[in-house]
Amino acid sequence: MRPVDPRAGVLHVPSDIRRRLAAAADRGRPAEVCGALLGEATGREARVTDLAPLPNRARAPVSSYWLDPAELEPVLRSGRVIGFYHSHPDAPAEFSARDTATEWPGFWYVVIGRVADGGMELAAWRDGACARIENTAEAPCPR
Amino acid sequence: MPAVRLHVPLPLREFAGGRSTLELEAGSVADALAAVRADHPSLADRLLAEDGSVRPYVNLFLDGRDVRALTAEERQIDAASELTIVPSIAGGSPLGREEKIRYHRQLILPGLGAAGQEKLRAASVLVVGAGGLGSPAALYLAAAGVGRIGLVDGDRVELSNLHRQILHGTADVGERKTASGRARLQDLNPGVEVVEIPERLTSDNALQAMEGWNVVIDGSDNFPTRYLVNDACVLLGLPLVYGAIFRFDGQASVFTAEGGPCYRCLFRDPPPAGLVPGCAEAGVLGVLPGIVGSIQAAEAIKLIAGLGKPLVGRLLLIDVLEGEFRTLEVRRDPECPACGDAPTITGLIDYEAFCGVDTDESTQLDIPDDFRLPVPTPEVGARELREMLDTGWDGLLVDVREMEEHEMSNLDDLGAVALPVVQLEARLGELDPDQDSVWFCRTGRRSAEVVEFLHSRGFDRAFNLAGGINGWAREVDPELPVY
Repeated sequence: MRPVDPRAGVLHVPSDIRRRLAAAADRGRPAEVCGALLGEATGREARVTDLAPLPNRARAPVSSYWLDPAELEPVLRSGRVIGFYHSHPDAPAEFSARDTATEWPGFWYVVIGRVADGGMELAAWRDGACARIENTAEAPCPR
Repeated sequence: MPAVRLHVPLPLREFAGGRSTLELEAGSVADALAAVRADHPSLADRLLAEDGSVRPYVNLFLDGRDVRALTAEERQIDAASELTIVPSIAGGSPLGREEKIRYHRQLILPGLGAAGQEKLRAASVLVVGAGGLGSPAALYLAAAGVGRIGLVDGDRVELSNLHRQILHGTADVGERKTASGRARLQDLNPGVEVVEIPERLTSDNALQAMEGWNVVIDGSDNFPTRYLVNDACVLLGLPLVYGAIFRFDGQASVFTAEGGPCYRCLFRDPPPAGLVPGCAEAGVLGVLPGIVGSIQAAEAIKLIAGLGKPLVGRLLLIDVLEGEFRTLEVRRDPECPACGDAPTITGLIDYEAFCGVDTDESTQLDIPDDFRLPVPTPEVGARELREMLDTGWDGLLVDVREMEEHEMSNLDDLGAVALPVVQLEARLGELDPDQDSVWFCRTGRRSAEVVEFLHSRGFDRAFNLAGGINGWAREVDPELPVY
């Protein structure tokens, strides 16, 4: 497992969101899937409360992803976008050189990767470092 | 003025006083940006380049439409509007285990590495012509791991192609070249996607076929297609890796790249009608397209991975008979009809007619034995000449204009001598063919013809002053009148 850098912060990902991310990555294979993370962020701590899946418009979607700004724009207007997610269908949840080169400092990035035995792993990245993922049980329900 | 709500994405909120939206009053997008600059200068710095344009990794949307695609009129705001800052979001997978093994020998190259390899994988290259040049180019690009390769060719494989078109084999004779090429490339590297475009490129299909690729490789074997591919690359803003071969001569360059010339800057007009032979008529040494097409592949890889110094502004000339490689400095022509400051070619034209191609196939071409690929007139720019003069250049500076023009402006104080065009042939004997010389007229047109004539008479060190005396006045000596 990659070393977590405490300076990158903590991202809370409820287990239902984790299940949705894993299912989306699985369905999208062999292509990468992608979308926006919705939630709340305060400084180095953030909580994902929902996902906004978006089509992968990259020309080579098996090894890359690209969000069409026109499709992202209405999601951003909600003001709830704290970052983005994408899958690595055949590679671990490491940040690739291209992920690093195109990263926006300040956004949270979740990568759904594949490990050697075929299982899935999740990693969160922020400001070029691997952040800790806190696995909260479920998103709190409003009473 | 109408109210404009600016939506600020999370990473930029710290530059907007921590807010996710800013309320502005603005009558246009420019107004809105000026208001941002006034109240939140550090936010404006992150959105706008120094020239005021929106930075490349940022998009600005006005009521759901990309501001870059709006006309000046559409950028006016006359009712309450929403302006959204949309970051460019993209990325990709790291290299897999097999990829690390396959590309190991280039991954360890200084300057390439995993980052360069990922760039190659994410890149797309269109190869126009799956023939002599396209064969080695496509093979090396596939082997190097360029993610998506397009092959454009309307022909089928013939036995007489195989001495040079190594993308195809004997068993492929009669097959479409794009199908045979695709099978070969995917056998070489199954990780590469190959797109077949089994058509001849024409003015009707070129823009559609060429749009969306990262780099175009011209492997065509005729002048109409060469001009067509060049003009389409200018119109689409794509870098063009040029290659051409004739008998024992080869050329390569990178055109239509940032700041560099296009093919038309060098060769405004095609060779005379009837003098446009292909390999079938003129012959070619099979290894020559192998050399030139491989250089084209190297240039494409350099452009994609950001390696080294691409052949922008330089034309590589290869003479396999003499065993010589040399490069000519070439420059963008501000008056070029395709990529100049005021282009007259704003759409694709009839290139067969432009090149005077005789479509009657029964016509016999009469190709002189000494026909060579056209080479641009050797030239120097005004600033370059200034530098040469400042560093003790002792060549001959010659004014070929008429005497009346000489009175308007001249370079006599630099030691220029007058030799009007009409007297040239008669006085040729007075000149030393081995001496450096720079020739000028008003704009550089007439003197270019003079320099071409001189080269045909063995004056190998004669150069044209690009832009003429008017160019000198504009770039070097503003006190001199431009007429």
